[in-house]
Amino acid sequence: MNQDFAIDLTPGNARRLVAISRICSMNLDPLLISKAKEGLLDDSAFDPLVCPRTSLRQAATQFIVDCGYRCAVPMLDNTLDRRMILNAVRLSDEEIVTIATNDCRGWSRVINGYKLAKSLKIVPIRSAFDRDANNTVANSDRYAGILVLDYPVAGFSGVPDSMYCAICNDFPRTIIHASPPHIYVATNAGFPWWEMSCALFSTMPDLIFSYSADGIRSVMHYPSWKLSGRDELAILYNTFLPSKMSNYGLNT
Amino acid sequence: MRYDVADILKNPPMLVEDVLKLIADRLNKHYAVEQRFYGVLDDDWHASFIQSVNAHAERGRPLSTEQSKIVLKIITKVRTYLISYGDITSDTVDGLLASPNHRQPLYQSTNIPKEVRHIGSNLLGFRFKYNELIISDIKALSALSISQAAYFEGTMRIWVVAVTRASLQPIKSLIKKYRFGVDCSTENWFHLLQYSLDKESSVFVDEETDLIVVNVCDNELLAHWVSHVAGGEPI
Repeated sequence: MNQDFAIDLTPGNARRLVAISRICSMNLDPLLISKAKEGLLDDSAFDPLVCPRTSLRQAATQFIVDCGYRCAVPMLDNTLDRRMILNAVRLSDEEIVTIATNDCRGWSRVINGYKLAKSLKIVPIRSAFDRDANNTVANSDRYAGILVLDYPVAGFSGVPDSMYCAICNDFPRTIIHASPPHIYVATNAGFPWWEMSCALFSTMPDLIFSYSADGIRSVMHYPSWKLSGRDELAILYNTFLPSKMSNYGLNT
Repeated sequence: MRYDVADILKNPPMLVEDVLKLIADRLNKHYAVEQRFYGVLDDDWHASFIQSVNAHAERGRPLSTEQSKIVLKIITKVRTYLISYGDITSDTVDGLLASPNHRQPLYQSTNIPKEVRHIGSNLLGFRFKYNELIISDIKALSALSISQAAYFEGTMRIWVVAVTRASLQPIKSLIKKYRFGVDCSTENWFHLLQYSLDKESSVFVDEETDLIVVNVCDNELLAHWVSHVAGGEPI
């Protein structure tokens, strides 16, 4: 109820706090706002031939970088595609990149044209869950890089499968990418994004997100939260929703 | 007085645990109130104590000196009822009260004062001697936090409870109800919490240490974001 915390002073953290202050009452230090304007991606972060810049792609890419490559970007807009994810990975200059997917061929095709990591592997999702008989991690070295987890579209019940939680737990830097069913893309509402967030952050109080927006307001103290809906809380758990975050990093 | 060994084997002397079982059985069965000591033992504390100590004894475990003392007080309280119900004779019960026999030797009770302390972050530590009523009240507080349930910390042997806007008053009531001791610094912390209600959180930049300092007031979800998502450390 009254706690002091310290977090690293980085432009990414500053930007995330500025974005959160738009939905939650906070007094911000002017120095933090000026810090949030540093290190923004520009046109050079995009390749017009392979991944042309759009404002939404720029916002999502900025978000991925600011979240330290631990986030979820559902493809709720056509421009938030595999190309955008691979472009964000390219910006990290990471040596080891693993793509865990049930569509290895599809990702292989997209990957051409990107100068990605020296060590790039496209593996079936089950292979990313590499445990020995005692359910302990078999080879910890491989978790140093970035994992792109192609989240299966079949479920979206709001509760993640324990295997995905375990994979996300093994890889500190995981970008979850998913292609939600068309109904969510068309209506841009009702998508149970907290399922992916919960896979990334196991301690997330996921239960409250399954409430309606009114239900959430009933358990959260209203004067603190200026929220108009549940989707605005997605930023708290590193999930990019285009309907709420299309301006992320662009108007700090 | 001469003791007949055969008679003792045939009718072994009544033990404190046996009388406790008689009492527990009467409370368990759905008797009318006049068959249940006229409601003398119907309050939560007596019901819980009698059932838990009886279950403990039935598992073949010894009673503590304090438990035995309390059981004897309860027997004294319901002595006349037990006799009138025909559960026990007056000679037997008086003999037992004068020189109590137990199934197993008693072990010495330890004295653990009930106390509560602020243990850092947003947490309170409750220390007390095992008491099912207190534990169930503490567990009920979990529903009032969206991010952290109450848990037992085995090394320190304390119950850890997160304080939230919703749980602040119930926690204060619990402290009052069970008469937990509160030290001065915890008392001051409670004042700070009361002052923090409805206050806005603040974010400062500390350029010397290259850190962002976030003071989170009355906002559990923001505190969870700072500590579990942004990697913030409590200071």
